[in-house]
Amino acid sequence: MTQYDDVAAAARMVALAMTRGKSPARYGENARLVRRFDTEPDFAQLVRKVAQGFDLTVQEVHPQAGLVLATTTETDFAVSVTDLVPNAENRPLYLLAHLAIASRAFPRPEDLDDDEHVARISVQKVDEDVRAYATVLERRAAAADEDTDPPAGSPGLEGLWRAYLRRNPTGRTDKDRTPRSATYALVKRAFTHLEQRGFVRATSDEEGGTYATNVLYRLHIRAQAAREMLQELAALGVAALPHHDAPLPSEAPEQPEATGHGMLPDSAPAT
Amino acid sequence: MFFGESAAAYESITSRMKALAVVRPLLALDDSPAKRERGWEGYRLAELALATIDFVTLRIGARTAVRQEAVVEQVAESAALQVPGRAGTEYQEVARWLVERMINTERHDRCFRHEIGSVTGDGFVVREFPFQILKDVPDEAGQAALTVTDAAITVLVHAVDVDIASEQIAAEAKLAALLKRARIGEAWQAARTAHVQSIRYAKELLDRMEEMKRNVRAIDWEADLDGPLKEAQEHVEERSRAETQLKAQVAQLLEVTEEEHKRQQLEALDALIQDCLKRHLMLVDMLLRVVPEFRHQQDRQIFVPPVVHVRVHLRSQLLEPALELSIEDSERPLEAFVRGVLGPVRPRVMYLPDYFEVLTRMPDQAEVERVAVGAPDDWEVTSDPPRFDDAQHAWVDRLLSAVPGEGMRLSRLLERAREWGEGRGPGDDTDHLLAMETAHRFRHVPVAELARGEEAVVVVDDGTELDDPVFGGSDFLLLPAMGEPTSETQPPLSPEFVPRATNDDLEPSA
Repeated sequence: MTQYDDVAAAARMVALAMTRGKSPARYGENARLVRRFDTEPDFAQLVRKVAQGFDLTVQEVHPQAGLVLATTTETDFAVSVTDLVPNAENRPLYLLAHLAIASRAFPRPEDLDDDEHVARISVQKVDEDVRAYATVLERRAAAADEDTDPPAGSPGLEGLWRAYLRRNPTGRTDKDRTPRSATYALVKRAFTHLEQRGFVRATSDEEGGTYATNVLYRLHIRAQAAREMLQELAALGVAALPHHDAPLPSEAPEQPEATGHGMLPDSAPAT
Repeated sequence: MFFGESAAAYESITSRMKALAVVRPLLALDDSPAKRERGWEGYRLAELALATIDFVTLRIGARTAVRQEAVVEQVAESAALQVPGRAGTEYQEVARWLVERMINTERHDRCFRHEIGSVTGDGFVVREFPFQILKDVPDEAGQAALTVTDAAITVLVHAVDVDIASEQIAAEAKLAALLKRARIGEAWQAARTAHVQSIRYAKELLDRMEEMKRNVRAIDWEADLDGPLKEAQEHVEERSRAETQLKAQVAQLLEVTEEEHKRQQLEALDALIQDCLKRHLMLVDMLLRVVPEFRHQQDRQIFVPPVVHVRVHLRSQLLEPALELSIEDSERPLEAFVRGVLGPVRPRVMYLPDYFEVLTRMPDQAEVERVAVGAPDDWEVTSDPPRFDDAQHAWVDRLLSAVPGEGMRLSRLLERAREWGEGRGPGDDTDHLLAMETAHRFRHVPVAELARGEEAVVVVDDGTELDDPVFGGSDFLLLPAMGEPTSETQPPLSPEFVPRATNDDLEPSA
């Protein structure tokens, strides 16, 4: 094989990483490339360099997902959030919905490392999660007697939690449809975008739509999303230490319902 | 020693309790309030659950996991068998509900739990026994799919927990004996048992290999792989030989059997054995792959530095702080997160036909409520208010019909149009309507009316300049004309008033 063939193969591997449905298990060419990446350090380096040329970074090579790439701030290959949500008013809440989905799917940091972790998450539960914490913040603000109204003329200074609580979870327009600005609709849209890109798969229509996550979704969050957001928060001077004992807010109401079905032999709390 | 004895005795009780606990969620299905609430009384849900587990078990032999849709499809068929004559969607609904109950989606950790007592060195203790029946796992391409747990296979598919190898030999011996006596119905049952056993074999191997992929250090080559591998290889070869013989036997029986019912049974049996053989070939293939896979995983995991990543608690470190931020401040961190989640995308090159497609596509994230396209008459309802009102039209019509036989100049008509009265005052623009009407009649001689023999006002340009503060152009002469129905082509115009071509349009002079 000439050096040109190697370069072509490396570029092909980067291209396949950006294509849906060409996982190593389903696509022989990708499987061969993954194997080469694992066994030939020179080839691996070549792939990294090709990715670098596109302003992408190679995060890892996973047996199921294949090559996992991450975007850099310079790249043109990143998704434009503005294209996803043209409405600037809905955008912050839509972005928040993505984070809430991820935090619901991976409640513990260990879940991000678990190769077998598959989460089932629903629109309703994600919305409840955000609402629960936003309500905590609302109570805290009320107790401290804080003025939560944003200064006139700069709505951008309003707290994100307040913006979320101002929206109804669901609702009806005169045409008997859920308005697009309701939080359910925003969470649903985030799910739809994830589904279109193959990160989740719809399993049923219950609870406003239920979805199961796949491996690549987990890898993207672990490798890039969580880390970069943490850095951005740090740049704002916000840093929180993890507290593992925080129970999921929706765990409690789940309990009686599940026992009511007679499916649970005991009443031990889920851990 | 009393303690030791009872501990040994209790061990058996503990293990049997575990088996019973696994059965419990299935039996609970039929007592579930959901069954009554949804009007599903006719279904035997526990039996459907067994059908579900069987299906998943038989399918995971070939692949590591089965898609939920495939399972739901299959269970819906069984549901239709139990309660015929219902809507297809109901079967689907029953099946989906059932599958989700067996994954136990209501619990966050998906585990069923049962408290079971056991005797340990510290005396009698009650421990929680968590177990799962169906389980969400990523399939070979990383997509979510279903597999069945060992607990479920052991208890629910084949209710004995013994050495798999000897179990399969026993099943096949039984099969051979039954075949010899041509008891085909029972032989099929025996073949099925053998079938399930080989699936358990494959699953055990697959689990080992998965474990290896996760952490190759956890596997001790000598103890965990070398010996068992050789054993498994021998076993598989032997079984394949035995099955080939059985297949030959079935073929012989098929030749001599003429009874249609028996022939069908034999054919089914033949297919089952064929499947067993295929599975064994797959096992051989897997066994051959174990050693290279081990080396490969060693390369990957030991000689390549592990990926280092920050451990982040998404809820407490990202979600909660983000909610406390202002909308403005939260934008950058949240965008960074979503960009990371969605990863790189291949930008699409647009070709000309793509533009058409894109332009005609309804964007599903349109920010506006869609309005149904109305019928043409809807547009008239919603169109702009008319420029001139009915009174103005009536006045112009009256002026035109009052044109005397010798004709009248446009300038005179404009004067009359500007006369106030009948609710018209300053700012009234009836003169504009009149001017437009005149210009229209000049360009479009009312041929149709004339041809029908009706009276119509025609407009003639004789070259006189219009002297008017608002309008410029020619001072048209308006003449009433009467058509003659006999002459259909020529409008009856007096020869001295032959209209001459002009480009002077009547326009406001301003």
